[in-house]
Amino acid sequence: MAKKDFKFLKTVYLGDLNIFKSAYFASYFIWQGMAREEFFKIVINNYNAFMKKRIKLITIEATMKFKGIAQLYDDIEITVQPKDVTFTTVDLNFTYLNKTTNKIIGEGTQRIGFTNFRDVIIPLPSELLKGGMDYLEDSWKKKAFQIYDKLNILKK
Amino acid sequence: MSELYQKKVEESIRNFLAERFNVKKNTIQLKTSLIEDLGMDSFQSVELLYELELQYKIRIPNEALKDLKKIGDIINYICNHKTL
Repeated sequence: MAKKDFKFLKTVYLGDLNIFKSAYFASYFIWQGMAREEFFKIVINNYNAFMKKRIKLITIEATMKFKGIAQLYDDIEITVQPKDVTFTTVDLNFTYLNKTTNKIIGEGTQRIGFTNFRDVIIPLPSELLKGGMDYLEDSWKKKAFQIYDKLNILKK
Repeated sequence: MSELYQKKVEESIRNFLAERFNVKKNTIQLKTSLIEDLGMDSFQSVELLYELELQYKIRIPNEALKDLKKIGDIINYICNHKTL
């Protein structure tokens, strides 16, 4: 089965712009966070129940590469692509397409992990692994299934 | 626990690190620190411990993690807690 694509749409408003009327570089990072939260909301089946588990999301690394400008009212489509799944972390790739100019204007990455409420590192939540499976390339999907199985063994 | 068993654990750690983090096997010694020498972050260290838990069918409690900083510490822990 072909993998699903997750796309987040952001319209550029005045608050996103610098004095030269193009988007702040920092805005690109903020949009990365917005796209990620929306991705989790879609991927995790029962998001409200998941949030009550008092799990903390940790951003271990984040990068952002500027490739082009975004201006007032431009529509930016951010594609979120998970990859490199391990027991404790997952990498997310972000590609920014300015739909108004049809140009790629940025690329970013994040490596994220989770801790419990005592700040102890925990395995990737099974809800995220399970829900995110459909968005992985085949090569990563195989590894994610292995980790999902192993986590179930660890829980026993 | 036999020396042979210790060698087996050591070898499996070397194999994991070489495969997962592109670390040369011959650079991994008992005194090698996961974080300071290999540059692993705490998430990667925990990932290694989960792999070892599965492989050796032992439970490494969260409280033990802070003391398992070097390869030798991990090998000792596994050898001391493995039930045959």
